[in-house]
Amino acid sequence: MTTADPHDLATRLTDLADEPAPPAGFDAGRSMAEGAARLRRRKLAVIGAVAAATAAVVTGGTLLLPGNGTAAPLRPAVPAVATTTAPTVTPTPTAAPDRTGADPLAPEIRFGRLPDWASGENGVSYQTGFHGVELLASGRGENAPSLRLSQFPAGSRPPMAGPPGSDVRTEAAEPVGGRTAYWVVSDAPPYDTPTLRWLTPSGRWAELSGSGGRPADVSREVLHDVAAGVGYGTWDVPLPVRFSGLPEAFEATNVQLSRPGSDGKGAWSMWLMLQAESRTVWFTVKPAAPGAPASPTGKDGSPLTGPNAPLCSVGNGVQVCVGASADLPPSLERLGGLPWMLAHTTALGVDASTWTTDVMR
Amino acid sequence: MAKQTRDEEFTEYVASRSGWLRKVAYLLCGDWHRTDDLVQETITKLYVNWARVARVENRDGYARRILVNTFLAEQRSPWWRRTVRAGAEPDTVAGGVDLDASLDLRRALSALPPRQRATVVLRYYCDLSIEQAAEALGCSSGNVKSQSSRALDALRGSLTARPAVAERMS
Repeated sequence: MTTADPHDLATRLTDLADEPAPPAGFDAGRSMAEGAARLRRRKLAVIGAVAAATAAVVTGGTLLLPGNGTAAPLRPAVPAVATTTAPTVTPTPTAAPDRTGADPLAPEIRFGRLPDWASGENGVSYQTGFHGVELLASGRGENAPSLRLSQFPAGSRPPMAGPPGSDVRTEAAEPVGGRTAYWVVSDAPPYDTPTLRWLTPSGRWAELSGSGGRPADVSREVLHDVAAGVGYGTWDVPLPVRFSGLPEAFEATNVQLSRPGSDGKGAWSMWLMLQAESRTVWFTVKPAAPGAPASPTGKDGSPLTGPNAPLCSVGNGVQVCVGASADLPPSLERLGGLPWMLAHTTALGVDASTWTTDVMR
Repeated sequence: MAKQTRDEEFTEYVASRSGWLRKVAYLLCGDWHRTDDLVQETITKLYVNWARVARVENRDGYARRILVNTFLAEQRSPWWRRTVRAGAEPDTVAGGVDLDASLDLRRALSALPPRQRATVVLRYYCDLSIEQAAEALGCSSGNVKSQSSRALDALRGSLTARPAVAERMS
């Protein structure tokens, strides 16, 4: 570059950037784990002394005694709430057991009763991963009602933080299963919809919030009744795939089962992340759509062109795609990489009745 | 289920764009180990802010801004000032490339102050306009112009002409 020739400089920069590079040393899974930890720390930092004092009062029960002047709803029968066809609710265990089982989606909390507008167990979405466990029961259509259920980690107090300047407070609630409960009330998101918290038998806090639909769909009465039916204890959620021959180092860290599908199109979709040797491999599984591109694309239709572009196959009416955010785990590389992984993944079918809890063999 | 799609969308985005991010990061810092640290930190920040990222139209622009700011913040940190290897040669990877030209450019880039280097990468590799570069750097357009001008002067003085360019000019 003997002159200030921007074109020549651009060409030189492109040549330099396109040089052969060593294997990538970063990983999306590590960022997700670290990012989730930062989000937790940020929440804790925001809670502050005022919220800590509030929580202390709440756990002491002084705010929650019915008749202390705050709104404690009566608990009439709720005809709209019906028993679902879900598997039997596990009786209350005393602690969440560690799992090394074959099903990577094994939440420690579950809906027991759901309103009529929900589609029963087959309409419940699940997410487990770095953010903990979250379940979502949704109705159908635009502005459909939904109920979101989650459980806080053992030993942690639920946050009481809203947007800056917002007023987040508690109101007494009738006990759930005989245990302390309270409503979280605010005029600002995320607590501007009915939110109920209660102590579970293991001593962890659970949270149930309702949104969408008509006010009666997610009223305090409905939430309290659904909360009273929540079951505790690990149970395996059937999934639409089975993996065989996976090296022992592979561990499922994040699983999402979305109903309807996360793209809003199909009846369901599943996303799963496996980690081994500090590397991440992920899967998307969904009903195969006629005319869909053979390879997955970004939300905007652009091709995924990372170092390990995803591979897809279709079987039993289900599309399975496997990809990696950076380089593959060495043990998977030795076995044959993503083609090997795809060949050892069996799609079971579109219908949930064909799914299995024996997912990782 | 916004929270439910976050992990899926995030991994999809990283799978799609990490190669590009890595190249930009490499041009910024000139060292593959630091490149991967920069990309790791950048995508971690992206994940933390994914609720916001998912709403913006130009996700690449958002990611690029995080990357550049992470690079510049690192230059300012005491840790970086303690560990930077004064006069160290940029690392190289074997391959069928013009090593002389490559080393020449890397030396010239490494001699630039961080903001000038970032300006060069944004303007001439990412092909951003002055206004877009100013937004990414969080400074005024005038500042980008002056940084660009100084950087080009410095590069003009330190880069040798490529043979093809020299032949073209003769």
